[in-house]
Amino acid sequence: MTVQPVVNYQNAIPKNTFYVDERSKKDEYMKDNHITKISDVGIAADKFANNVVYGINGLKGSKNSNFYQFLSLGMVPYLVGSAMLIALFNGVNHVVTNSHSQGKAARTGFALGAGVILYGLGKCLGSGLIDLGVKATTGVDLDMPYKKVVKNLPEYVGDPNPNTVEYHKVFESVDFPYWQMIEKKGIMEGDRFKFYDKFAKKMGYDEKLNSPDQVVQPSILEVVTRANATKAIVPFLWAATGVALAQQSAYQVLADFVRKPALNGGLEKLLNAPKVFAACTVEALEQLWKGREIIEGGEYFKNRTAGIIGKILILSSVGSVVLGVLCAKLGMHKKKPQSNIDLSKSYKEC
Amino acid sequence: MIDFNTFQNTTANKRVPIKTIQKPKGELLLETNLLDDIVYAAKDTKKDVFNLVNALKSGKSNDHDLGSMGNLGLLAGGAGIASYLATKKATPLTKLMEFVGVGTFIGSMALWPKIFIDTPTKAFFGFDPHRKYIDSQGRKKDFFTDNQYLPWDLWSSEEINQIGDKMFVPKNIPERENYIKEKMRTIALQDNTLWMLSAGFGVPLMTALVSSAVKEPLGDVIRNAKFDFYKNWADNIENYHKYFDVRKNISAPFFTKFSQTEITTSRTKFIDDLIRVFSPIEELAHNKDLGDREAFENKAALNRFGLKKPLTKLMEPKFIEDFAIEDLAEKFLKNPISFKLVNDELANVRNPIVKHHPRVLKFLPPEDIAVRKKDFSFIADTIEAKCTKEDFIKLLKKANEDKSIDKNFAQKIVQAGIDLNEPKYLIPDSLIKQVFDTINETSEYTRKSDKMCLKNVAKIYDTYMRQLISSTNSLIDMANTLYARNEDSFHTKAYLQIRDTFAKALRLTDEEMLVILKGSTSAENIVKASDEAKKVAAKYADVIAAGTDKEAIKVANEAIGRAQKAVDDARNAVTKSDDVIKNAFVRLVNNEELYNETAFKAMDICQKTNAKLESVAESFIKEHLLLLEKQADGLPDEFNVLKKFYKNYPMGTRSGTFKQQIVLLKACSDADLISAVTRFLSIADYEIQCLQKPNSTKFLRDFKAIPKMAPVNNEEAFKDTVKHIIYHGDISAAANQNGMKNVRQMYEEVMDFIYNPPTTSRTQKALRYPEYVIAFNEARLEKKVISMSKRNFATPNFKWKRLYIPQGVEATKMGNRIETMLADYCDNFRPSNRWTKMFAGMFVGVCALTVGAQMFFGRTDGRKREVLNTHVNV
Repeated sequence: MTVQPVVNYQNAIPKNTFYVDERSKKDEYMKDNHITKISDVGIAADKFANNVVYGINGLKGSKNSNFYQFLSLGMVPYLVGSAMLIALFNGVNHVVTNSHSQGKAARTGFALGAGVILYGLGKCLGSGLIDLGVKATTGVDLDMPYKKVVKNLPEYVGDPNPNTVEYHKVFESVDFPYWQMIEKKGIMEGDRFKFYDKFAKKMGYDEKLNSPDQVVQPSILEVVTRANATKAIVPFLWAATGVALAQQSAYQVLADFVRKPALNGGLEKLLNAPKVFAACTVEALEQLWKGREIIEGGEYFKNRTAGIIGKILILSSVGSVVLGVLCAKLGMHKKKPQSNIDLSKSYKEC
Repeated sequence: MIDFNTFQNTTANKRVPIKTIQKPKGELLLETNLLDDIVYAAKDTKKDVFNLVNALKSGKSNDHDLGSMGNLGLLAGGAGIASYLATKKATPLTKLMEFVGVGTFIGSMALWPKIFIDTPTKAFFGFDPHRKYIDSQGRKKDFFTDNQYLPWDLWSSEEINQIGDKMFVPKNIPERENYIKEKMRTIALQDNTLWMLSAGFGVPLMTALVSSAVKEPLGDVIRNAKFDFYKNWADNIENYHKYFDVRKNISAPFFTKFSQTEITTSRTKFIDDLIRVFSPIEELAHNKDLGDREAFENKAALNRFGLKKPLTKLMEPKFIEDFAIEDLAEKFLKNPISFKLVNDELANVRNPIVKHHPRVLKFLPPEDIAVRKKDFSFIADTIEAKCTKEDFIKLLKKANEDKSIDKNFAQKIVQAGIDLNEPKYLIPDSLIKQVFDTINETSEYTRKSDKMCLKNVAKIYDTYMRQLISSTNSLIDMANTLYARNEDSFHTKAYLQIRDTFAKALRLTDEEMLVILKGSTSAENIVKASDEAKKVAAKYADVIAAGTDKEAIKVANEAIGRAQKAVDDARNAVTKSDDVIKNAFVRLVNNEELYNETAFKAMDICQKTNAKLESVAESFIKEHLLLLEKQADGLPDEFNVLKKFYKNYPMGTRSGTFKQQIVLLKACSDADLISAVTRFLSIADYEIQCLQKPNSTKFLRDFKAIPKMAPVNNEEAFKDTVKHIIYHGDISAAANQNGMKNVRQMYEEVMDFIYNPPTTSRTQKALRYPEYVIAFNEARLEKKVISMSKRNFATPNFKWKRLYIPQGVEATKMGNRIETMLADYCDNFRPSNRWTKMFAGMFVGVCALTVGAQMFFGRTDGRKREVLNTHVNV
């Protein structure tokens, strides 16, 4: 094997220009790799289903167990741990409490169990809201997923060696964003730079740029970086709010539904569940905001500290999303060109 | 179209110099221990903050930094959760435990792979699968994170060969290094996967166990700190008078000045100033060493109840000072000018033109004129009638008593006529004297502020001592009740633990400690002796049953005798050490007059009725127990054990327990005894009524709220709820269970029933003599007695803020059914034991599985080896 000379492409040719040799074209625009419309839930389901395979691969020490599989497996401790926590809070109450504190333990257990679930929901919601906000204000879809077909290495002689499918996101890495996928999608839709042009227009370039990719890509990366940095914090604030929300007595209404599940109350009860959940959430939000603690018989008292911290949690989680989106939008301002090249001037091919 | 390849190969190559690949500048980090990791974690957190700010500012970052920022979010979220949950908790310990819980969880997440994956792998295979390295960009990364990207050139071949030696890789195989690397890769990958699979089980269990293990010592720390704090307060009470003296000295010039001038500032402000000068609490509040919220609370309380009221009363100027009246009257009548002036003024007041008179207007707000007119009419009348001196004095005195008169204004009027600059008139020394008297220790003020200070001592009692005393008592009682049929050492151990804590907290002298220690060791002897007896009994069980081997029976009897003796000894020693603790406690509180006026009154009543009530209570208990014994036959099958208990242990044994209880209560304090006995009688009353009228609403009609709360057919549920309230003060659980509504009203009525019940004919019969009935009712109705015992029982003073009142141990047991009592013991003491056993077992299982699995790592099956070998050979 010969050592390939490393060429400094930066100076030699414009980065990611249209001119790509046939071989590269074949590689980069591989038929199987393309942007899909699969949802986050779909990806999660795919990872969930495949985690069995990934786990076995990992335990075998397979060469083909890559970083994607490792990250997918990261879902397992979350799910198992959540189930474990719920079980710890609720499963053994009848064994480890005395008869007097059983009712109380059941209530606390339910609140903490609901907290575990609302933690997860809050986290999803927090990052989802950032994604939504960033998409709405800048047009950058942080979630843009693409399908990647991975050719596996042979594990042993005669390994049938099937390909595996992975779902990545175009902007999952700020170091190596997969621009080619965007361009490929553009080609499919008839304009290679469609996405970039759109973004450039949003940035404030009124005229169509000759090579928008060079102008737009750093800006997009700035947006993505800022959004990701915000996403390091915001989902956890939402998760904390979720846990605090679950502590409100309003949610105890749901306890009955959970303990005597669906079939017991018939279809009607099942259909009512989302409604009840929504009502409980609204009520719980009010309780959290005001620091109210309800006692039986409609009596309530005000827990001032709880009210203050509740307000801080709600305000910080909502405020952080707004600030995060605004901060991400900062990235897409029109910059002064660093070179003297007139970007809007068209060049002739030579 | 241009040929790109040509372009690349020719033009570009010519223009741009070819660079060779440089070896990355990164380096492998040394293996770290736990302490290093903690330091690294702190440093990394700092770095993360910096990176986050930088990323948000500049919009530039990298994948590694963005990834590690998630830790910050986790910390922030954790802090948020813990702070919120803490607000829902009542005591400092439970508040703190929320933070400890979150901290432990985050810690466990980090520690789980460190302890149960890295360490065993290192032991088995000689390398750390989470070895870190620094890449060429200066970022710290795990070497084995990405299975398909391993920068092996960071490792020296020596190191790899050493690891190979530890893995017993033969020395002479070709491409040994590659082989070892491949093995390391495999093992690390397996480890990572195992980590992902096991953490979900291990981390929550680890968190739960560590938290519960930490809770007790943490509680000790908090209790001790609290004790020290309150001890400080107690010390300060001793220094209280010193503070007072200092204050007095400081304020002396103030008063000199005050005595020489008129009171020109507003009265309220003046009184506030006075309070500030004389409040020792104020001094404490501004003392930074003691700086605590409670000091300020005390201050507020002091202002409310203490100094302000008497001072205000004192400072309220009279129309004219009593001692000056005569003097004044004389001068007033003698001096025609003053007479004229006053007359003029009064005339003006009476005349509508007064509104335009500047001098009057100065003093009179327009809206007050009507009132003031009335005020002065009497003087004007006097003047017009040209009354005698005596009459005038009489009238002045009357004016002093009349509160509706604006005395200040009257003063001014008088001032206009008479030179009152002489201090003996309206700026009297007597006032100062009275102020000093007020703050003197004999005065009301001192007593009240003392009380405020002593409130802190009461807090020691409330928050710390009381609980411990009741748990100690309960444990003594429990040991006494249960030893005969259950030698379970658990109870004894729990008892010892609490005892030690208690002794430690009380700062006993060495001699006293010795007594306590003796009590502890002898309690331990119970365990030993009963274990021995058990063993012997088990060994000779068959022989004893056959009744043939006399020697064996003798040995067994001896062992049982020893056990019996050990128990008796222990009981004595324990009682002695109990006394020590109680004395120590009394020493602490008695000096400080914890038992205030109220307490003394209660004690008085107690002394009167003590002896009678004790015997009454005993007879009552006996009667009650007989009823219960009869009832035991009808118990359902779940109470088989209990039935046996009734059968095997006759009446005397059990009533002895209650007798013991009363003795203990008596030792505790007389006021407590009387209130407890009262409570017991009420409770017993209730129980007996429940028993006697199982299906009648008649007696329940006493509760007015019944129709609203419970339908008649739900009577049992109602009874249950009432019982819950009586015994535990815990309303919500029982009410929830039974679907009761408006429990607040019910609670109030139940409390009324307990504390102020109608004396039934049965009770009267039991009390036998009318004077007993009177004493009983007195004790029961005496609110102050009730307030003495409110910490242990459900009371009318239930704070609706707290859903749960600490349940009184005495209340739980006294008058309770035997089966409930026994069930309660088991209920209370088994759970934590069971919990630990259950989860510790699970945790050990998960750990063993995790560690054990690693022993099978790194093995390659035949087909794999083939590929490996072909690779190696190529």
